[in-house]
Amino acid sequence: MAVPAASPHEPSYHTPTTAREAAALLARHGARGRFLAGGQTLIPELCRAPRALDAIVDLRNIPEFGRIQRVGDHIEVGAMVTISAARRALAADFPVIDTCFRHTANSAVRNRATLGGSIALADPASEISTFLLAYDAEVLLEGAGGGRTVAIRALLHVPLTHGTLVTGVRIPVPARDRASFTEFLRRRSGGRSLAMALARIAPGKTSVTVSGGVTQPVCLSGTSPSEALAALDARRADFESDAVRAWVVAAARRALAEAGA
Amino acid sequence: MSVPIACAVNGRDVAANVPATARLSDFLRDTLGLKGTHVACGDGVCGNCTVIVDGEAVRSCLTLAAQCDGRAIETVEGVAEADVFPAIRAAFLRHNALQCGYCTPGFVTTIAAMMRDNAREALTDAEIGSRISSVACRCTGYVSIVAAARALLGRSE
Repeated sequence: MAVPAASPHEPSYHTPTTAREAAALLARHGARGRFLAGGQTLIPELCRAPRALDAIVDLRNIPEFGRIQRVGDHIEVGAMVTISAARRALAADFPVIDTCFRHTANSAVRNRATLGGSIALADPASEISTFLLAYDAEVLLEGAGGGRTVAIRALLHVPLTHGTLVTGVRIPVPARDRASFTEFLRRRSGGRSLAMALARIAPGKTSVTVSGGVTQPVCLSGTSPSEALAALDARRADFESDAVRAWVVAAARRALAEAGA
Repeated sequence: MSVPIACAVNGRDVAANVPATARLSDFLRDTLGLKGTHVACGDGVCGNCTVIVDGEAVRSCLTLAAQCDGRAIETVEGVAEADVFPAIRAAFLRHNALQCGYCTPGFVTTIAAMMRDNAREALTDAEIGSRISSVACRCTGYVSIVAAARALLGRSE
């Protein structure tokens, strides 16, 4: 059979079975090594810059990266769990996830893209980041110094250092709340997000987590929807233009209205 | 570096050594000669290259062949031999759901996966719309494809 010709610059390909092994492999290759999770971002990059990599470290054989389990009052989800799988598995405890994650990319990409990859990418217009921030998620990391846990809020503003590996997320199981997600997308399928908002209303506490333009998601809260909106208004300088501000406020209003309905 | 893979393609065992960066789309078309999987954009945007891996629709241009070790892959050629196909073919013809046919394999695999999922647990209208939206068509304007898909899923148009 004809085998696709290998270019002289083909990177080495590794399938470690532990997070520590994966981190060590990446450390050995520095800037010329990359973790491969779902590949929905990395694979197009490989083809645009074929000489850029010496090593691909594929994370798919690390057993605990596929876990979805209840640990006390948290749910732990491994880094290699796909967006589709997370959306199905978490729907019972987080009903809003069905709508929220349905807007990520497209259904075929969601079957391969992973939670860990999404967190590492830290795209500002990310339904995943918005959801995780809205629900106070913590991110589990493995790096040169071993394992650590970081609130998602911290990661959104300070990118992961190259070689730090997301191993999973921990999300506290929420008490009953009413939640709704709204997103305004550019017209074509897979179009870039203009703004999104995830509203949660519980007795005595309302939060709305928004993102828009190039601004990472931010969570505003108050004792009522109007207080949450006032808190959003106080953050108007965070957004890069009047248009983005308008979209963000509109998304927040709609999400709050639908959550409260 | 050459990566050994052992997978199933359309029910047949395949063993090969592939370059690390070889895409599944190229492996299927050029190594296995399965030309039914069409590559249009090559960048993961259009969905024409959609195949089914372990029961899920994925973009074969956004999948490395190396990632497919141990996986079961079904292309449009495989779907054409499967139980779902006669109904798919009939619906596409009845509803005029193709013109040039270039995107058709991407829709056929996507819809086959939807039909099998729907048989286990009914998909919501929103989910049907979302999954159909994952493949681009330049000819039909989509209305006929959506009609065919909804008919296959037992829904009114």
